[in-house]
Amino acid sequence: MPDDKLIVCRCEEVTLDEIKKAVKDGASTVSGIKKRTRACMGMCQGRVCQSLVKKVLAHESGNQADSIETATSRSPVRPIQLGEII
Amino acid sequence: MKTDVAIVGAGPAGLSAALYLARRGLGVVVLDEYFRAGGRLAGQLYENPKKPPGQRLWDGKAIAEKLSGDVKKAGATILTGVSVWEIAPGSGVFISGGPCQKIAAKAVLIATGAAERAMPVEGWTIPGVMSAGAAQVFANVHGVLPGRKVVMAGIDPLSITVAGELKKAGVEVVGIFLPPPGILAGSSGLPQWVIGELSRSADMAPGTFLKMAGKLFGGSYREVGARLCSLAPANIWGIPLHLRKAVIRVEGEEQVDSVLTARISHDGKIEQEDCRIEADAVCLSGGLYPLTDLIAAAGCPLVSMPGLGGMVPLHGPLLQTQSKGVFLAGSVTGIEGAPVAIAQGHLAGVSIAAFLGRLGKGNRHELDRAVEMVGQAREESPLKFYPGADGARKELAALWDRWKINSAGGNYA
Repeated sequence: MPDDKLIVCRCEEVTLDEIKKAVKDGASTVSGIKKRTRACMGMCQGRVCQSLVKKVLAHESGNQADSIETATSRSPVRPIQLGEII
Repeated sequence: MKTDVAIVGAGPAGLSAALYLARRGLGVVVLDEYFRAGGRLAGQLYENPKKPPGQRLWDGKAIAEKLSGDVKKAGATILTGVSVWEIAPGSGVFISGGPCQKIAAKAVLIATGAAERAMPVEGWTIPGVMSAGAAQVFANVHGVLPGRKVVMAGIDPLSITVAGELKKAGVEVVGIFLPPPGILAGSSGLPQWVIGELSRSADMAPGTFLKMAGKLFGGSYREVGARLCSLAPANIWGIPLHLRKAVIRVEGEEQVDSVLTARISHDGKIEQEDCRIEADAVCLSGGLYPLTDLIAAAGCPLVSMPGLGGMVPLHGPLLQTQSKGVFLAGSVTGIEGAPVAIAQGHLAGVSIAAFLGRLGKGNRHELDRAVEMVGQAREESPLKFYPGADGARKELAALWDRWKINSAGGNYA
């Protein structure tokens, strides 16, 4: 399967290839992937793709997927309007 | 808005807790994002052979309607179409889309349930591709067929159940296939692993399809081996179950028109492209995981428990968490069925009443009884989503004890 075509993060349209490249670039955490690619940073905040990003990180580093730490959840955990918090 | 207990999630766990608490005379507000209470109960209809005759039918929709009706009658408020975006431990929850911005509460119950794990395939962003759970909601809740000719990719208890339900609803289910092998599918793309998982679920869960799966795969290793060698599909409810073929691409311009399949070797490698199958919808299944972002953002640590579906919040035997006054119930504590969620909701209700000093003297036995009822619901459960659940629960309990000793915290019960 061509990795450059397979979209992993649907919200931000990040491909498997881009995530692998980010790992080669030195990313070793979900946070590192987020900062390099914007995967997990769209509307769903990683509800869909975070487990996939973890699998790629684990595979590329030769670890188990559950050894990769989950990205820190921060409020607001749902999309809200600015007017609701100020 | 001010109340005693704010409950996040109007599914089986949240409603069951609300019922107990409201009947005890506490103020309760239940919040849910969906327009209707009931959560995933709405899509469930099956027979449980572990129950005595006459009590076997599980009609989720009817149970949801009765439960939410009883909750309202008992005096609780249910707010639907409302999102909770932050827990303020000790003071309530912040909401969006409701009549106010904050529900001030002395205790909070998180019953957010589960979400589906994504299972990507090349072309999975084409309209007509959806998760197995989405197809189930279309068919069972809204009475809308997701397509006329549907292909399922991903082999697990949920995908097989949904495939059967779609067929009953009149959809032509062309087949259930492995997901495309590779990093993202991981072990769920390996024929041998899939058979192991299915047969372990079947041992514990004699539901109709699982019984059939059990007959097919639950026997000796030799049988399993023979099944693995065979390229011919197994047959479940007249639906071909392909353990040696994977969907490797979804095709179509404006919408799905076909999928490409490939033969898979025993160790999960593509042997050769197989054929192009016409379809107007594709369902992808990667299993369920606990929806923990809200509780994690409140500062509760998550621990990895593959037997419970992934990362789960650390919690105690009375469903308390490290955040004082914040409790959990249902699939957020680990993926299990609705009857377990109902029992856990009741336990969380009793536990919260005790925390708020409203259980009353001489009612401590209610806590023990509620714990027992959760155990009983587990035993009678017709479906195990993840075979390692029991071991994982024990491990979790040990982790909680260690935290309590180390922190001298958890002075709830």
